[in-house]
Formats: sequence, C-alpha cells, structure tokens
Amino acid sequence: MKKKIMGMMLAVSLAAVCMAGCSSTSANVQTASSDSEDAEAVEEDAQEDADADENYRSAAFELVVNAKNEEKTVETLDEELGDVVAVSRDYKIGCVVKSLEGSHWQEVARGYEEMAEELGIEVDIQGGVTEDDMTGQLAIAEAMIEKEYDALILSPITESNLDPAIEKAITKEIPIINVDFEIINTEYPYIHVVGMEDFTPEGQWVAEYFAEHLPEGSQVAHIEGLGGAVAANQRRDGFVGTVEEMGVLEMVSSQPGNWDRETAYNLTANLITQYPELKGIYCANDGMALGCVEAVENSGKDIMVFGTDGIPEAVSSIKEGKMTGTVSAFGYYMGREGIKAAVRLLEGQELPQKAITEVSILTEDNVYDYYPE
Amino acid sequence: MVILFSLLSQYFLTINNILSIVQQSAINLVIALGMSFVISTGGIDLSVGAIVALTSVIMANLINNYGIPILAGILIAFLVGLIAGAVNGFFVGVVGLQPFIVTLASVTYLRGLALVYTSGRPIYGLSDNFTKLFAGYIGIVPVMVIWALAATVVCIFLMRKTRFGEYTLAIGGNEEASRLCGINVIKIKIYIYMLSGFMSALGGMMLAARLDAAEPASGSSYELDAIAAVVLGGTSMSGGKVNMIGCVVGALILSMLANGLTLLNIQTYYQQVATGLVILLAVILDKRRTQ
Repeated sequence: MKKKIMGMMLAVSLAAVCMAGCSSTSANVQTASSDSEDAEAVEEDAQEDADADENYRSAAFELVVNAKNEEKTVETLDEELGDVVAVSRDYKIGCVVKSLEGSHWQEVARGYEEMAEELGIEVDIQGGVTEDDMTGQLAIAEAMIEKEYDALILSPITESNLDPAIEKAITKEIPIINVDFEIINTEYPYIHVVGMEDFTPEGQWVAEYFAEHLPEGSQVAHIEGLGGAVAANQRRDGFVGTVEEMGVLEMVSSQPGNWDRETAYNLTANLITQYPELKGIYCANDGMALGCVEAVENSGKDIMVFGTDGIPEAVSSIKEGKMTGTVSAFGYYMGREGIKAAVRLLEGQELPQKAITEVSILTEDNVYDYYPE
Repeated sequence: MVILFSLLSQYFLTINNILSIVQQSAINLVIALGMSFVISTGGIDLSVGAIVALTSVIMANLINNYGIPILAGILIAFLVGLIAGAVNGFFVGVVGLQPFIVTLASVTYLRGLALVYTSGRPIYGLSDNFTKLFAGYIGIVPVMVIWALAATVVCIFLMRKTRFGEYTLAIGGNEEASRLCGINVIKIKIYIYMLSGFMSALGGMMLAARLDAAEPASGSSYELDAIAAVVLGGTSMSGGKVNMIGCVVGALILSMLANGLTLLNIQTYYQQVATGLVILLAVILDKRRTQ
C-alpha cells in the first residue's frame, strides 16, 4: 500500500513538472526520444531473460491452442492431475477482472490472491473503474500485455471489449485463461474456467426449492436483472418457466430491477401491497435480493427471498436468517481455479477447453460448509 | 513523467507500449479537439459522451440489422452527430441559454434516446470492414492514430488559418464586441457545437470499432476526460484563448498516466486520485506561469 501511494505521488509530481512546461511542450518530447536509447538497452536485457524463459510459456501457449474441445469439472481435473500443483519456477501471472468495485469480482480477486500465495507465485490484479468501463479495462489489459506475464487471466466486461488485447497476447504467445464471463470469439485460444455457461438452471433450482418448501398454490414473484442482459433473461426463463411448468405455485409478477438494490426495494414494497399473500421472491442478483430482504423485513411479512451470486453480504444475511438463500457461483473458488489452471499449463499439464467450477444453492443448511466462521 | 515511468518499468518505453498509449488517447483526443472550440468561446459541451453512444448504436443497428452499406451507416452517424450538435447550438446561440444547462439536458436526453433505441441492449459483432476502417492497423500503426492525427491537423488548420477559428476566439474574448464588429455570433456558435457533435460521432465510430460493439451505456464520463485534456493543455475555461497542441499533449498525458500506473501495478482507484491531482497541479502551475 505504502509503495503504491509513493509511486503515485512520484508520478503526480513529475507529471505536474512536465505540465509546468506545457507551453514549451517540445522539450518533453525531446527528453523522451533521447531517453529511448537507454530504454533499448534495458529492452535488450529483458529480451535475453525472456529467451531463457520462453520455452515453458510457449509450451503452455501450445497446450492452450491444442486444448481438446471438451469440458471437465475441476473435481475431475483434481483427480486426474493431482489436487496440489507443484510449482517449479517463479511465475508471474496478470489478472484482469471486470472491476474491483463489484462484490463478486472482489471475491474472485481474493481467490486469485490466496491461491497465488499458497502456490508461492506472484499475481497482479487490475480491473476497470466500474463494471461498464469497457475502454478503461481494455487499456489496462493492453498495458499488462507489455509486461510479459507468464499467463493472463481475463474476464472481459462485454463479450468482445478485450478482443484487441487478446489478439496482441496471442501474437506474443501468452497463454490465456478466461474466467467467468466468456469471450465471444471462440477462435481465440483460451481455457475457460467458469461456473455455468447457461444461467437457466439457476432460476430452475430456485423454482424447485420454492415448490418444495412452500405450501401448494403459494404466490411467487421474480425481480429480473437489467433488460437485455443474457444472465437476466436466462434466469427469468428458468424461474418463470419452471414455476409455470410445475403448476404447483402461482407466478404473479416478473419485472426488471436493473441489478439495482434500491429499485428492487421499491418493487418489493409495491409487490407486497399488491399481493399480500406473496410467499416467495427470486432476485436475479444478490444486491437486489438484499434490497428485497429490507423491504420484506419492514413489512413484517414472512416471505422467502432468494438471490444469485453468493456475495459476502448475502452469505452473512443467510447466516443471520434474513435471506433464505442464494444461487452461488463461488467467485472465490472460481478465482482459485483460474490461478490453478494457469499454473497447470505452465507446468506442462494438459487441460480441456473448459474447466467447470461448482455452482449450487446456498441456504442456511449448507452455508457453514462453505463459509465456516 | 516519461523518464520516471521508463525507469520504474522496463516495459514503458517499448514501441508496442508507446503505440498503445497513443491509440488509447486517440478517442479522447478527437473529442477534446471539438471541445477545444467550444471551450474557447467560453462554452462547454457535456453531451459528447452521449453523442458517442447514440451515433455508435445507430450506426451499428443500421448496418447489422437493416443491411445498410457500411459507408452509408457511417454517414448517417455523422449526420446524427451534426444534428445533435446543431440542436445544442440552437439553444445556446438562438435561444441564448447557458451552454452548461443546454448540454446537461442534452446529455440526458441523448443518452436516453440511445437506451430507448436499443432497449438497453448492446450490439455486438460489427462488420470486419468497419472495424478495420477505424481500429485496424497499417503495418504496426493503429488506424485510430491516423484518424486522430488527421483530425488534429484539420482542427489546428480551422483554428489558426480560417475566419471560423478567428471568430471563435473573438467570441470567447468578447462576445458583445464581436457582434458589434459584424460577426454572426449565432451562426458561429451553431457551427461550433456541430463541430463538437461531429468529432463526438467520429469518437463513437472509433470506440465501436475498438470494442467491436456498440453499447448505449458507452462513453459515460467522456466529457470529463475531454475537458481534462483541454484544460491540461492550457486552454482557458473562460474562453478567448486556446492551445490546440497543448490539448494533444494533455490527451497523451492522461493515457500515459493510466498506462504507466497500470504497468506499476497500481490499481485504477489510485489512478483516478493521481489523475485528479495532476489536473489540479497543472492548472495551478499554468496560472502561476501566465501571471
């Protein structure tokens, strides 16, 4: 932390000095060019180092290119390749998450950090300012590619915003692991570490849980994510579809809550007024579910609330007995598996194109199995 | 700053990295050039980011979903940018409202239109020819850099060598006097906001090509980046004085700062703090120097 602040201060003061001579900007440019000779020397040194190391990185890249187009769960991989990965070199891995602002991504980043620490390797983790900072994330990824990491772990904000960076990484033969949200261009070589590609079952599981735990004929509602988002649509289809198919519950409402806690709070308050007999609400993410829980508590009603994602706040809410449950993709474990996949490749272990991590329903019954404290 | 970053990170002064810095600054630079004209009349254009979003989604939708030829789609996008700018210019020039308020309204309704037009859905997967045109490479040089360079040359020419540029600065210096001198202030103002809209549309094309997607939510806070580049370059917010080369340097410095700090593995939150402080210090130093 201190180092970072120091670095930042230095940069700021120097930038300011540069700008002080803004009217004579040509001076800056000249210093830059006269300095480039030194930089070339540094570059050559770096080149020599890189040559010695190139073999294992290229080999890992080849493994990614030749990965079989199949999927295996991480448990299967552990059984086949061994749970613990022996690390024979000091690897440096670069990770780009969507944004460190989102709870899910903080969990993924924690997974990266802790796994790297356990394996004794180095990771750098960066992310966009917000989860819609597409160009910012791209700029970060591009800068990181120049840093010659042994592997890159990427989670693009949209399915294509990191494409220019990925293309550069491919020409440099850097092995790429794609964690969670998938890169659309499947022609790119990458290993995909993901909980679930299709979100429909998540909605389905909650519908089935409600059917099991609520009296027959109970009214249930759904609060959707942002209109048009794939995950939002699939969760809605899974939940609403299953409820209607089973025919034991009554679906009263499904409206977009835009992933937003406050919107979900207001929607819930309205729902409770409109349908006083409402028994269950499923929200397409945990943030909305937490807003929903607040509204339910204020109304004093007994309504089951389910979220999605398994963010820490939701986990504690489940432990406190407020939120009924969530469909968790376990960002923390996904992060750990991402690092593990990268190291496996660098150690020459073959991986399938997809490594599937666990996604399951998290309720009072099993929350302590995953989060003991 | 260049020296510091190159000492701290051996990767900073590589040709690839320099090219990516220039490329990353290209969109902001293009928008900031248009903004320079607006600011040098003492005005401001907050709607640039929304124009970026609106033009890119219209272009992408027309080409992808209606099969309109690429060039026609691009022309329509530029037309939309010009119209959006003209509307801003109309309210500023003819109706005489404050530019801040006019463009505060337009940033909201233009963004709204972009969301309505797409129902909030991003449009992915643009035609290869389109992405090559705005975000491809000629050799190792990114096309975006060439576009930005062309825009810079044109804007500097407009500002320094034409009546339009002269009048722009005159209005910024003293609007009343300019009017008395027989300058058609209203017309010039409309043109200026149209120019800003046009540059934003160009930024929109570049952004869509770079991300291979058009998103209604894209371009948020671009107005602040553009204003930052203009101010860093030494252009006065009160108008009448402009520094176009400074604007180029300003845009480059902003990208360089983000890039260098990323290479040093300093997270985006610290980067924002750093960028803010740089802007503040630069303006203070600029003020001292000119006093």
